[in-house]
Amino acid sequence: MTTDLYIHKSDQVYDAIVVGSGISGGWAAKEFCERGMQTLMIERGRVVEHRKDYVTEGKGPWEFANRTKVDNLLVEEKHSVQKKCYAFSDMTKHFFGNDKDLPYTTKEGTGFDWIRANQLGGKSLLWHRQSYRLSDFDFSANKADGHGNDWPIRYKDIESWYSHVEKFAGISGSQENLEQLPNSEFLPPFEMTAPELHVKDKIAEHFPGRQLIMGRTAHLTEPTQLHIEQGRVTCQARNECQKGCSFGAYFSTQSSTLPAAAKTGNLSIAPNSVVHSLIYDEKTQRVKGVRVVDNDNLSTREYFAKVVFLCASTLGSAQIMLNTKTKTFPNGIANSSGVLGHYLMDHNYNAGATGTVEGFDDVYYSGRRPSGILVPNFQYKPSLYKKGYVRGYGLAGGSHRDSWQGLGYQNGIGADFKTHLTKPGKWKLGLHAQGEMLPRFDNYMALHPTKTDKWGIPLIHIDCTWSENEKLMMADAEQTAFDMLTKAGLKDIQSYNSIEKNNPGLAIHEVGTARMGHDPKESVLNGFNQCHDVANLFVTDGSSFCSTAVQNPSLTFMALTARAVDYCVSEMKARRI
Amino acid sequence: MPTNSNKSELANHTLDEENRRVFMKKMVALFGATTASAVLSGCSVSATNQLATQTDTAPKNGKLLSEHQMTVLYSICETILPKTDTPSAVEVGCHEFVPNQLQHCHSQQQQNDCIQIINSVDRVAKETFSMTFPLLQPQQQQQILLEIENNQSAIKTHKEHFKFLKALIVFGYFTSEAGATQALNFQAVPGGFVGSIPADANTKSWGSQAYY
Repeated sequence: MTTDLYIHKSDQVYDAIVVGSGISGGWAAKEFCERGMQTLMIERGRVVEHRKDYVTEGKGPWEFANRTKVDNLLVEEKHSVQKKCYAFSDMTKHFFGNDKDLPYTTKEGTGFDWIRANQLGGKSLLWHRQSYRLSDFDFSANKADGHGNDWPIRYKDIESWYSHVEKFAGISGSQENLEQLPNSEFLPPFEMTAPELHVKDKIAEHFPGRQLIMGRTAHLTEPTQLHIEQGRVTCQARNECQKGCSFGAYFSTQSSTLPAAAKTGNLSIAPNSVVHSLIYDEKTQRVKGVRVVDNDNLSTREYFAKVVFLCASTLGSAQIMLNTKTKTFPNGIANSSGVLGHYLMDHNYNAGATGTVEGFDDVYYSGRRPSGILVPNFQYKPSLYKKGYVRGYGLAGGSHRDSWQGLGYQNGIGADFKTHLTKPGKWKLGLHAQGEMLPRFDNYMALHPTKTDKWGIPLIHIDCTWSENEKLMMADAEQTAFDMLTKAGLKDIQSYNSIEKNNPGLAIHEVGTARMGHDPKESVLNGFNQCHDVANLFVTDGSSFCSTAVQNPSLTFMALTARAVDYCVSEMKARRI
Repeated sequence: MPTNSNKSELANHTLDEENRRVFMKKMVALFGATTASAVLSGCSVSATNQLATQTDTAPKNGKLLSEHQMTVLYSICETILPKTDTPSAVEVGCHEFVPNQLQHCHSQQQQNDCIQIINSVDRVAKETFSMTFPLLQPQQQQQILLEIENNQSAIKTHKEHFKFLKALIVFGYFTSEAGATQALNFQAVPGGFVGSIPADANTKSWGSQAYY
């Protein structure tokens, strides 16, 4: 990577501006650059260089002042929200947002936990890497049961784009030929442990229609030439991915799309550039560029391009659009429908069960698998819905042998206890629900009427709550997970349902604020992620989703983005944009 | 004092001398030779006992624990995870880790709970053996902690506070370099994941975890 990759000021009219450098932004930049387009990627945060800036990588827990826990004062001052993320620790905190600088408000009595990663690479450095295709059941779910609007696309529209991004990113997984979870272009799957294989058989025996499969994850289990060319090598099973991975073994902007984009010579990056709003030309009815506030010194500048791709996250992209008020669009650009900011959704990860698998004392595992097991959604069409609520959930999980972390609470003092702590304990296996959240107009984000952040941008105000459907689903999921583990022969099963305790947001799968649709009166984007109202403005991150499905969404961000760029470039060539 | 009642003067004296040496060693380790000898100079064990109790005042210089509480914690660490073929909790510095970690990463309530249970351990020691906890024989110390853990101590204590403190000591031990790499099997770079490998009674747990 050369230093002239980074720009500060520029009068150049680029072919494309991509706002954001996470999973979607990285893909947009790569696809534009590889089509010969002069591309400017705008990132609000600092530069994070692959390898060089993974400052905690390879360090043992004893090398951290508080053994990987974050100091109370620092948490209180800077990370009051971020601390709720499972991956937040002293080893990873430099990749999480500073909550003090990034305030937002929620309606009184509600909450929304917004996890931020404002640096080059965004959340692609921190993501959980689970990668699944949506199926036609997902794309037609809204139409089938009447919740939300119909997705304007179907599986056949995106299938080849899934293949395109999967081959490049590298997705490990197993061919299962499930109608609700299409196969990807797979690298070999990670192995299951012996108790997982046992439970897999038991579930197949007792629960027809439910399968336990290996999780699908963006890790190079066996790199292809395409990955080697990116400078990436085989996953070493450290499972310390969120520190950054110099092996480039998991997909991130830094490991994969950014070097590919940079290699073309068509990429420029404007870091530390907080996009305030879009510049709209009333005459041509097109966007011309973006207004930027400097992240550090708050000075302002503008960048210009023929097209703008918003890949600034589900809340971030909608914030930029709502903050772009023009004569034509007094309520936010491309918002003639009035749905911009609405239909905010997240996944519902609030129920599950864990138990002890007896036996298997003579087996252990080696390495730390950066993935888990999955029972794909088995309520994926109306005929399979349970009584009382609609849609379904998958069950994700894993197994391990108990270690000092659990055993430390057992009774015992002295040498024997110490020895006991150093031996692998009983096998534990858990299944945890990943539930769908319905699209509802009432769940929304808007701009705060008076409060602004340090860059002078109105704060986001969120009103988003679980509905009765989500609550009923989690109650059922808790019981179902308990029943499945019981039938599988597990003992000491503990189940939980935390929906009354947890706000939406923590699944970090927020989607839906600028949804696609056939009808411009009820949606912001068309089936190519292009704004109905502004032909050269695209939004290709999670904002565009019409429903959550149950699958982790990032792979679909990638595929939608690559497809949108392909469409955009052909429209530019045909001079329709 | 149930166990000392039938001991001869001489036995008592020998025990006192031995305990005094052990205590001195601990004090030196904790606070340096000057403080240790100031505490112990010319003192009989009973005087030391008294002095040790007297030092149990408000901690100084923003420290969480007083010097006496530190000596009790030191002995608790050593009792829970003693030296075997791998280092003891004290050898990897758990007694220093605990107050530091409590102050930086735990709530006021948890800090208070730990101070309370450290005080309780010493009170139970005095109630049971008429001696401050650090001066007891290892098996007596083990007995005191087992009684607390099983809700059978001479005076009422909070078992759950003890469990919390114990877990914190265990955490400090196995996240130390020696704990993670000697007491456990540490794989910095495993090289890949294998779902099943053989294990037997001698197999050590992995010391390397993704998250702590």
